[in-house]
Amino acid sequence: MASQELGRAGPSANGAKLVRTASMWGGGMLALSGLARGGITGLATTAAGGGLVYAALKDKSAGQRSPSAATHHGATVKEERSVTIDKPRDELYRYWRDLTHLPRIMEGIESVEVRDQTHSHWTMLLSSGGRIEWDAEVFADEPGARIAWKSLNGSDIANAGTVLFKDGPPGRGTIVSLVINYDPPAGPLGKLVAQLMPQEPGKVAGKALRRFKQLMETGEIATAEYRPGLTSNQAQATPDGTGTERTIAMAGAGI
Amino acid sequence: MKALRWYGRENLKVETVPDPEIVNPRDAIVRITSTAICGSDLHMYDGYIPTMHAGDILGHEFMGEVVEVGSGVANLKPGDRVVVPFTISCGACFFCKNQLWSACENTNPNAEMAEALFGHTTAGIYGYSHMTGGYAGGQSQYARVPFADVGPLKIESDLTDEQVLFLSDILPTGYMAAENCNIQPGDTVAVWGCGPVGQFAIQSAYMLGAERVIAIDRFPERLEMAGRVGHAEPLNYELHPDVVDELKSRTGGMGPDACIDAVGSEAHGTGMQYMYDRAMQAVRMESDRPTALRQAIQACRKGGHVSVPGVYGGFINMVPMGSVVNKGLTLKSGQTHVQRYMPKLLGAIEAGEIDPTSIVTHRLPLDDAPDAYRTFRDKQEGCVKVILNPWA
Repeated sequence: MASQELGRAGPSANGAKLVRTASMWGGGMLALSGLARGGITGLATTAAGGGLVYAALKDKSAGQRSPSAATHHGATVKEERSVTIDKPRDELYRYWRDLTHLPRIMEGIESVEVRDQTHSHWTMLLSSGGRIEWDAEVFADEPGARIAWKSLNGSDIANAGTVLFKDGPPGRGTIVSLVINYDPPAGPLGKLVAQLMPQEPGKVAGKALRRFKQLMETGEIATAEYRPGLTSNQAQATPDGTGTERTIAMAGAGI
Repeated sequence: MKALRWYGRENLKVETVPDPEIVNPRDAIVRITSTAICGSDLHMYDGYIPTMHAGDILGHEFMGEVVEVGSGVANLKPGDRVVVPFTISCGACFFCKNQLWSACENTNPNAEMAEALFGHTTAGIYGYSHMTGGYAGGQSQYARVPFADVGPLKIESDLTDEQVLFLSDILPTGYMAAENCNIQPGDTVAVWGCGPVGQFAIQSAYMLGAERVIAIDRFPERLEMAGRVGHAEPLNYELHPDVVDELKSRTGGMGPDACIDAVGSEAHGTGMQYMYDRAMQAVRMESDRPTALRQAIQACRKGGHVSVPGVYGGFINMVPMGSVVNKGLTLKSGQTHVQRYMPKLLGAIEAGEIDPTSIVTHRLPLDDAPDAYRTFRDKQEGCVKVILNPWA
């Protein structure tokens, strides 16, 4: 079972960081030596070095946010994220303690049905369109400070979460920390779950906190949709001259 | 509605797409009456901004009439005339409360993309890649305006669109660039780039008390505008290739008290260093060409201010950090905190202290936008600023 305390990035994450740092330095040095030498060979060396630097930078967020891919199969995946929210601790705690709010915050969680004070039933929508479900229990509840939950025996995916609320510096609101752990089962099902998870778990935790902050501070969750369900790059163009509802209405009104 | 959509480098199309609608309670829908092409739009036109998707609607300088508001917008009503700031800001986070509107934490739905590149996210920005949110832009007939209760500036006087449109971006951007120079009586300010932002930085520097402004460019019509409208002293770098030396000699060896880089990432230059930047960009070792920034740092007097309104998107090489340290320079930059400056600058326009219409060279229908981008990018026909009418 996953740890009940806040997790830290494991050795694998540190390893990834080292490789990344080495790759950046190596890339930079290669590039510099290429420049110093000049000529065609030099330019090629420079390009190779540049590629390494770019690869390292591109990898950076993935490296920071999730332990190495090996931990997706068998070992516990564990990630901590923190965010500062300009609202009092108690208000934030109260919103989170009503677990039925969590689908609004956590991507992939389709529903949480609350059965009693400590028990709930969770449904997660996988990117394949399938669903996994589990029963969970709140096993630690300190009003205004901490909520911790874990899945119960028999879950498809053993998982746990802890959210902590601490006062920030004076006038700076509340520091909210979220840990999400899960233990994908070994074997074919584990692989399936790992493949079908909507996102990396670190990203799920980071996104959940960001959405929580947006909702608490602004009352809504930011979206680039320019009409419900559609961003501008997804919009289908219609043949010229047909117009659209508002345009036609305005033309009809002689505007 | 008609909208200008991005399909790749130098590939823009005006198409008819479904109209925007209210999505969130704090939204408004604005019928756009005037919209402009910004110099920073050219970075997408030229394919330098990552995370663009085919079909994205461009444009972040627009104004118009409110036609609908969400349930959370109490300060606007249909019929109100508004200028929309390019920064989408929530008004409630630490940064908005501290007047750092372009650093808003809550308005970029793709914050993780910006974090990977910048360390932290910016505010959402209309029509400016998915890294800053993927919001539909305002080079269109209508726009969804999120957080409309804190962003748009109501225009209640009879000022024309042309007089107030640039409150959406370039006028506050030029002003903030000058404000970042901490101008004192007697100061000389040098401005690299006499495009729209440079022109407003020049005028703002005088508004803030500069004694003298030197304008650097290579296009005679832009230098002429800087002199005629902004009363700046021209420095054509094709006539004076050693800009740093020329600036020192014009300032008694001191160097300008403040230097403004209103050029940014696609700088043109001369000589070996310019060729180096082109080569580095070609092999992706450098995303931006900091020609103007290098000169600004080298030329600035000891203890002076270097202000960077020019847009940089990523990584630059061979910036003389030793000069910054050893001369004790202050380097200031930022996407503009538009909401901070709008009311004050509207007052300046009403009082006749600044005339934003003086930089407009082209007025065209939205249908002509694809060609207008090219004209503006290539500085053909003396083009400095294009205003588009989505209904013409």
